[in-house]
Amino acid sequence: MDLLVRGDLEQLKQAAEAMQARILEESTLTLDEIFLLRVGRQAAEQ
Amino acid sequence: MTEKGANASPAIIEVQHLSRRFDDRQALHDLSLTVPRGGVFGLIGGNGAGKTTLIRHLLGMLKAQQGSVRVFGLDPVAAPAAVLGRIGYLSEDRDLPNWMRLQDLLRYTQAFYPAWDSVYAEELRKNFDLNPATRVKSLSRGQRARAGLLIALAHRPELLVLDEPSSGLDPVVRRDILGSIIRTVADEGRTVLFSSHLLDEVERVADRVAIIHEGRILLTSEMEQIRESHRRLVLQFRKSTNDPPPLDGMLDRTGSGTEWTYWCAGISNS
Repeated sequence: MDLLVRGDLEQLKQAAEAMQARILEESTLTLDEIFLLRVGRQAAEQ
Repeated sequence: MTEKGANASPAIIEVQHLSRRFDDRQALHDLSLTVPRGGVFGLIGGNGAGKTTLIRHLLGMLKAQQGSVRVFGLDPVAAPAAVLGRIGYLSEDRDLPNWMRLQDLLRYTQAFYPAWDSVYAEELRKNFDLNPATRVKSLSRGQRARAGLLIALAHRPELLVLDEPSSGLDPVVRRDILGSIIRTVADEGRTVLFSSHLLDEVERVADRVAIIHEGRILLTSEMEQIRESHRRLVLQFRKSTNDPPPLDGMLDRTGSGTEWTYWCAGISNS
């Protein structure tokens, strides 16, 4: 299931509650951050 | 595919399952990529990611070992004149003939392009502050980049391919001139494909991006959609934990105790 599709914050809150957590902050990422995350995950999977 | 059919294609570039090997190094792995007609497409990746190798295939400088490459619906190796005449290209190494004066280089290049716009070329030359009497070998790195950009632009190509266009340009030229040129070309309905490792620059001007890493496309989408679908979340758990549960779409997480930061994506990279 993809939780974070556009406008899906409510669904995300429910997921956090199911994990017995609450959202303190939520923000978008810069392209720089997205690039590093994607490349980092690819490296971890190899 | 017929010429008429090729022109009707919504995609200006269509790469399918392209692989390329140089000796013992696999440069591209089963890479597929579609670039729609119009707008600015940013190809981002680190050094050696495969950006230039991909671009060389688009220009017909490399023949696909596996897979296919189509530009304007045509194979650039089989139909180089029909493809290259519609492309403006700025190479990463700015390979220009050193012995020519700039004015001679412009005259020489003009002969290859029936659509060369002399008025526009002169306008660009002035904007780029280039002296026509200077020999290419005497140009600074930044001037060389601007001369290469002028040549790529002056025949008003349908597709502008810029390989690391910022390399050698100072930050002001990069932001003011390069940024505005890229946007202007796209606003005229033409297509710009540019590779860069300067992600803030890509984020500022690109409509769509593809992330390439070790010869593979990790992600490609509209810039706005990529921004909207990636999130950083700080979660507070009721109880301290060393191993909080994963979230679907999670790319990474870090933290300790009750507070953990998650980085998530809501779109698939498949």
